[in-house]
Amino acid sequence: MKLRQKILLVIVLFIACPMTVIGLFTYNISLDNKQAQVEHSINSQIQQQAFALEHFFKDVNSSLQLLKQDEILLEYIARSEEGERYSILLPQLLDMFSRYATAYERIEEIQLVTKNGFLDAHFSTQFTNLVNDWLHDEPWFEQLEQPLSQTFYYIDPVNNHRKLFATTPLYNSLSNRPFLWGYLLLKINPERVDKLIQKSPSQDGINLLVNAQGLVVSSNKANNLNLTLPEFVRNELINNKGDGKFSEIFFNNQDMSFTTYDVADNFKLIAGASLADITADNQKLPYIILAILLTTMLISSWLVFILIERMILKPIAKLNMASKAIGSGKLSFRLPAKQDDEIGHLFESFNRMVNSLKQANNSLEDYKAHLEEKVKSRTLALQTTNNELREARNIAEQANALKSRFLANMSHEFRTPLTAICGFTEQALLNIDDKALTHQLLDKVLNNSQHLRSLISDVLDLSKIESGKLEVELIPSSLPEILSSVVQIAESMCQQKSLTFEQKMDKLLPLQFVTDPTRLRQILINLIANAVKFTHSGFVKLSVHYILKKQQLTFVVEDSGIGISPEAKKKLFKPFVQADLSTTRNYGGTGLGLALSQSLAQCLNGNISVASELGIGAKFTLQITLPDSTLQLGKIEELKTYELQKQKTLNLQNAHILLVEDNLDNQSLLKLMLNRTGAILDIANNGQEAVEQNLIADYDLILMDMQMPVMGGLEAVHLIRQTGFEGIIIALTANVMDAEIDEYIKNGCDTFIAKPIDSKILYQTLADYLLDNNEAENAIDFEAIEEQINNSEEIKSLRENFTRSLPDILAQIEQAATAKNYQDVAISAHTLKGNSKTLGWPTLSPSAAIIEKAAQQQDNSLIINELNKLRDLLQNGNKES
Amino acid sequence: MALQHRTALLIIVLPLLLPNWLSANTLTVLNWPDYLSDTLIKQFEKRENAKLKFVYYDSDDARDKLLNLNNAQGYDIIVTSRVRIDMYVEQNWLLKLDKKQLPNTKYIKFSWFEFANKNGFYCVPYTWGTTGILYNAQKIPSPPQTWAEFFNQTNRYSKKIRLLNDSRTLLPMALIALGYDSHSNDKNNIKQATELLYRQLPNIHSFSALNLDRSSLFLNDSIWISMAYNGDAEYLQKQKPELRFIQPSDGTNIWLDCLTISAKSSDPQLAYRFINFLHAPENAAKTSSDLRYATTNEQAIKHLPNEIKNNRIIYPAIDKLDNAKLTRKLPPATERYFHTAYKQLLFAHKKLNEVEK
Repeated sequence: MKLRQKILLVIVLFIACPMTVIGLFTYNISLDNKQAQVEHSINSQIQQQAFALEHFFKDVNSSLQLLKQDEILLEYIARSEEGERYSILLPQLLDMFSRYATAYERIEEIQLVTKNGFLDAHFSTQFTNLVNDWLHDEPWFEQLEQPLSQTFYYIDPVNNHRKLFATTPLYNSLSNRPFLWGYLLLKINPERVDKLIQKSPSQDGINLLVNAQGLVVSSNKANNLNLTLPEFVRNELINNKGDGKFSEIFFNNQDMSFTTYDVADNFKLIAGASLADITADNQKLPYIILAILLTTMLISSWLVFILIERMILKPIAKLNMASKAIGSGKLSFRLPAKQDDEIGHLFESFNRMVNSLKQANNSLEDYKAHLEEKVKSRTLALQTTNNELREARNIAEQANALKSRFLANMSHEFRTPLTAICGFTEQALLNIDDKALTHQLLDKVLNNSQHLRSLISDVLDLSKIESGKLEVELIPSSLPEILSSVVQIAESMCQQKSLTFEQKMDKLLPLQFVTDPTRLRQILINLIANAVKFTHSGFVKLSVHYILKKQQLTFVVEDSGIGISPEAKKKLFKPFVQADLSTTRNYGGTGLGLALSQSLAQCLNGNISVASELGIGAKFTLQITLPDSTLQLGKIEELKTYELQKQKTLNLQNAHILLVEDNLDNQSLLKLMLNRTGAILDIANNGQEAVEQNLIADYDLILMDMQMPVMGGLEAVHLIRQTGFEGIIIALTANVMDAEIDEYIKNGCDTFIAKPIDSKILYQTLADYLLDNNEAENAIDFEAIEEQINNSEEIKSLRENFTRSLPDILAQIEQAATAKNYQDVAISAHTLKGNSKTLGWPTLSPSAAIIEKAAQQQDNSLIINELNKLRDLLQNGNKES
Repeated sequence: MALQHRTALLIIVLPLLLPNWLSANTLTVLNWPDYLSDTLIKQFEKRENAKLKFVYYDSDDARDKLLNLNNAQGYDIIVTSRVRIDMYVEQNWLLKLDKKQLPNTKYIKFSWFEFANKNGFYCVPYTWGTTGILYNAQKIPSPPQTWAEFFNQTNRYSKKIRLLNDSRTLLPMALIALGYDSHSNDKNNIKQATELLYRQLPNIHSFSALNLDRSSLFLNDSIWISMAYNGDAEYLQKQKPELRFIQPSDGTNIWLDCLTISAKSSDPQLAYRFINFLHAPENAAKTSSDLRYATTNEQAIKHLPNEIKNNRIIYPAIDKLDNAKLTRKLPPATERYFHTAYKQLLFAHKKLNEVEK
């Protein structure tokens, strides 16, 4: 039981219940009191009304007596002669009656009736026309003859009209012997009587005026009028008469309490009240008392309860709530300690407790906040450092990538003149006896050397340009000399790519002018090299024009190359950027050329512009405005070029190569190809073997198939590099997606060769990496070598073997597929995919690829479908698509 | 109250009676107001060295009451309507007249004389007249031509109409209005006549005889129309020319007034001389022209100016009055009905007025 309920119980037991008992007790007492009071009030009412009635009847009778003794009346009845009476006295009599009726309002009519019932004279206050002259037939007339009292009551049977008469006999007193003349009647308005007994102490109370016959003469309730009271009622009431007793009688369908009082002329006044009404009326006061007591009880109980609740329960609840709040960590919560009592003190000490709790908590919070802050700041610092590092790494990586690309391109650029130098020198040494030729050759050697030098200086220049330290050397220069060296190099370059080099010189050109010949040459060679680089067939053309008026010397380098897109044109003169990144791979080059050239042209007071149509060619124009006008103009002779003799073998005698390849067919093929180079070849069947062999032997180059069982190429490369191998690793792969290639390069591969392996590319790549100099590479006719290889007996037999084994391979795949050995299907299909391309059945490759994929997805129906396709292709002997 | 009333009457009457006993040559005349020529009164007083005292009544009932009060004692000359003579004789109030002492009665038209004295010589015929309607022609351009119209259209001049306060004149005219005989004794006829009058009560200004002096309500337009005796009408018409008299075509009663001598007269000889004086032809003519009533004196006609003589209001041609009837004495039962009805009407009218006030 809660405290609250206990208090309520106590209040109910000790306050509410006793008060209810007192209330009920009071109610009973007042009920008894009320009964007595009601009877008393009925009694006093009836006495009052009886008195009034008595008075009323007395008043009526006394006016009757007064009227009776009126002299006019006496004179009137004394005259026996009708003529006299009516002619002379009647008007006076009627006037007298009129005066009486006016004076006594209760009189309705005055009648003068002879003893034999003739209505001799009458006067009515309500206008009545002439009435019946004879009254002896009236039922009440006999009451006049035997008067019981002066006042009598009569009900007109025709219209139930009440009539109340006061009557007195008239004697002719003026004659010597008085005799009964007739009767004088006053008709009284019964409503006047009704008015007298109208009041009743209770609402349903009944007042009745009853005559001797028990006829109700008057009542406060109209429905009781003209009733005749039953005999037993009359007896009962008459027996009770006088002592103020009450009789209970069932009257008018209700239990009523009656008392009786005598009134003049045998009338009885009966007053009664319905018991229900008395009770109902009685209940009001006790109910009010009861209601007041109950209200007081409720209010006092409520007040006590409220007080207790306010003073104790609520503070407790507050305390409870506060504790909960504190418990849930709301330490700022305080209790209002305004009261200066026990509760107030309790609250105060509670607050003090919370305060100390809060202080402790605060210091904890402070420490926590401090800690968090520290962690935060350190994390921030770490993050910043991280970001900086990341950025630095990015920058370094970018720079590194840029430099790597740059260097890779650069080496090729350097090789070109070096090859020429070596080649010409070799020729010169071979033809040392022919002095003229030797001289010519050495000239070319020299020129190429100079170009090489200038190329190197390109790099330097670029760095100088970039750092703003480029110096231009302005000296009198010979245009023919410059052009001669440029043409030589251009011819050489065109020759290498089997391009036609055309030259067109204006007839009048300044033979000598002040410029920086090295730079000019550099620009022109750059432009031509560029043109050659991006031209696969057709021509490269150099035109030289001079406009005397403007002193403008124009060099135009045209080609029939791939052209430049408008977008690329915009970036064309920016350093290290070629038209397309892929161009670097395809065409080599430093990427410096045009940028350097443009910078240099500007240094020479010139400008390079470009016009190009994509796929048709490009036209670079170098315009130089010459500083002075007094130049010697002359014609320049056509410059001549010399063809180089190329080697038809690749000599890699000192190279130690490791071939890592699981596919025996491929092994055989590559072995065939590499044997021709004279290189020492070791073979590993998978990555693991490769790693082991690499630890034993010291290889210059590793050819690494990327997709192998036991250990894949990528993992092997990774491990090999970890052993500290610094040689060259070339990936052999059918996957030439950029993402894959990037992945290989990132893991340590230097480059890749796409499968199926093109022998020419293989040789070129090997030459690139293994030959010490460019000249040797340039001197090799790779196409010739490729032709030799493809026509060799070994290759032919290899292909035939493969063709023969094809049905078996297909059967194998089908068998595996039927057995749902999808792994075997995938491996066989993969092998077929690679070998079919390499060994003369490229049309089979796509279906093999589909089967491999289907096997991975375990799609048997697709495998069967593709196998059927393969069989069809095989039967048709459809080698080439 | 009745006692007080009676005392009041005595107080009024007593001073009138006292001088009669003291002075022999004083005549007390019970009369309507303005019903004797002032000139003749002065002439007679001068000639006889006598003094004429007057007691006035305004209705037959009032006169009856006065006479009954003292059994006709204290009056010498009683001017009364012919119909009351028999009753007064029965009461022994009137002196049986000696024709020798009234030589001038020979001038009275015989038919009048004979009609008036069927049961002995008590009445000296004085003047005669009719009852008609007096109205203000300015206020009422189309006056009622019959009693029927008069009694049924009182709403036309509501509260501007006056009825005579004499039941014996009022009810007979109402009977005529209903088409009954003015002397009908039938109770039902009388009831109907009463009913007719009762219905008009809200429109009636008052029940009264006409006042002939300056205070007459006709003169200040308080009343526009009234029942009137022809002479009174003629008299008032002289004072207010807009007034017109109508003799309703459906009938009227012709009344005759008598000069009588009280049986208890203190000086009957002087009374004889006074009556004889009044019937000297030139005096009778004077009476007629002063009072504007027709005289019964045949010789007086000769002395009348044409203006009076030919006035058809004052002298209606009796033979030409189709429905006119000489007023006759009423049987007691009729009297009873008339009085009862009339008093009820009067009381009801009084109550109506009280309610209105």
